Amino acid sequence: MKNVFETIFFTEILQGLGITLSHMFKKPVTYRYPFEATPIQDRFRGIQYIKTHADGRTKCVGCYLCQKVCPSECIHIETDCGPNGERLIRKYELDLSRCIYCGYCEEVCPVDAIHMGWEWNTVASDRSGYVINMKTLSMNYKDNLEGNWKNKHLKKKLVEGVQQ
Amino acid sequence: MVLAIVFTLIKILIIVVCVLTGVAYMTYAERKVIGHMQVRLGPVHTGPMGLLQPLADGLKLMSKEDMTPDMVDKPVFYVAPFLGMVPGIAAFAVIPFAPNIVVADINVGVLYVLALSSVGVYGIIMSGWASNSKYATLGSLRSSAQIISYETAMGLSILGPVLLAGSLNLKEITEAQRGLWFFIPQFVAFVIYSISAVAETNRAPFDLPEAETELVAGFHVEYSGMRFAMFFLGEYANMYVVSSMCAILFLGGYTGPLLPPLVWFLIKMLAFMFFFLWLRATLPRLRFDQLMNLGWKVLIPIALANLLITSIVVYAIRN
Repeated sequence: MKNVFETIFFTEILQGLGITLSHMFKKPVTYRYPFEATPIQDRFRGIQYIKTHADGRTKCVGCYLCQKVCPSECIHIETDCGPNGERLIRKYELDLSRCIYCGYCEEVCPVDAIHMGWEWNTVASDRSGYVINMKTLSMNYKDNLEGNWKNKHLKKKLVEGVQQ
Repeated sequence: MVLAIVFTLIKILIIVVCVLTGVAYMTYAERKVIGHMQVRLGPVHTGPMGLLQPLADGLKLMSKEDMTPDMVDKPVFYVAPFLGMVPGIAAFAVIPFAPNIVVADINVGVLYVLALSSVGVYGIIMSGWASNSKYATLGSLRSSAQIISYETAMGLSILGPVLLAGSLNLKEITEAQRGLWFFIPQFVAFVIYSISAVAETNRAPFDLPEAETELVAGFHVEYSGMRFAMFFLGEYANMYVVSSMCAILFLGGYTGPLLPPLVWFLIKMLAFMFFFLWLRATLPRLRFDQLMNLGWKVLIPIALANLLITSIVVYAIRN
């Protein structure tokens, strides 16, 4: 009997029409990407940054652990001996076009220097633009601290104090 | 005499321009409405809120290459798009938008609109035949079968209001609804009309002739540029025609309190147009046998029964 009623008055079609009509007044989920940034999760792994001490010296001690652990071999480090027997970092290069953003370097770092950031816009016009050095990585740290992100959703994250 | 002709020509020009603008903006409305029903935005980049999108589409279609495949039947191939578009626009000649805004107030208006909507089928059949392509042929065969079967149900459902009004003149039918709009006494006919109007214009969920997933695009597969646009214009003009007919036959045409008659007419027509878009956003396409079953085994018998009961009631009241 119920079935006959449903067939005659096509209640199920009306139900479907009701659903589409109610969806019409919902807020669209679209992000207009190039004009509007997309939100990023807290645990998102973006371009790396390397922390610095208060006087601007890098925290990195050149232990080669990140280079060793990196599965895509995108980190290249060269070190040298300083006048007082300390270790100097001659070269620290990270090839973003090889990096798979796995986050192993962050986990393995014994001095809490390298971290995965939230910035993800790596677009460059040629391949050499993808290789970033210690200077850029330290600048990335500064940008992360000060919130100089292209992605405005990240500004909110800074206010929330997710920074270590 | 000359003045009357010029006046009529101006009227025709105004109505044609309005219809074509309406058609263009219906494509925009369709994308917007369906977009929002799917919780998307629809066009936003061309102009404020994407309002210039129809203009951009028109320019794009006009600047596209006018392709003619080698193996087509050329004269028929060229004529078909016009035959698809002209009946849709010609039907507006008898539509009373307001008491004095009507190009030709003829006494067989309903018949004229029905006849023109049948002529529209020829455009589709001819394009399918002339294209010399299996997708186009299948699409046009489906379309003709569908339109012919649903025209019967549509005609029978239209007879209800015609019987109540006692006239085939669209203006007199409108005036007969001053007290009570016909969709209340003729509710069954109204539902049948709505369903067969959607099928008649080949719109979703009855868009089998141009089922993208099965037939690529149906009868207009081989057309490009403005020729394709003409089929498109024809389809949307037909939607406007059946919406206007629905407004006139069942929803009281231009009658209504407070607002001017033209506004009432447009509100009713656009409400029915919205219903088209709403259906497209909601329902999946029917299978072809389901479509035929619905037409022949359900809609036509119900329409006939409705007609019988209406005739008896009208006869009893008049005598």
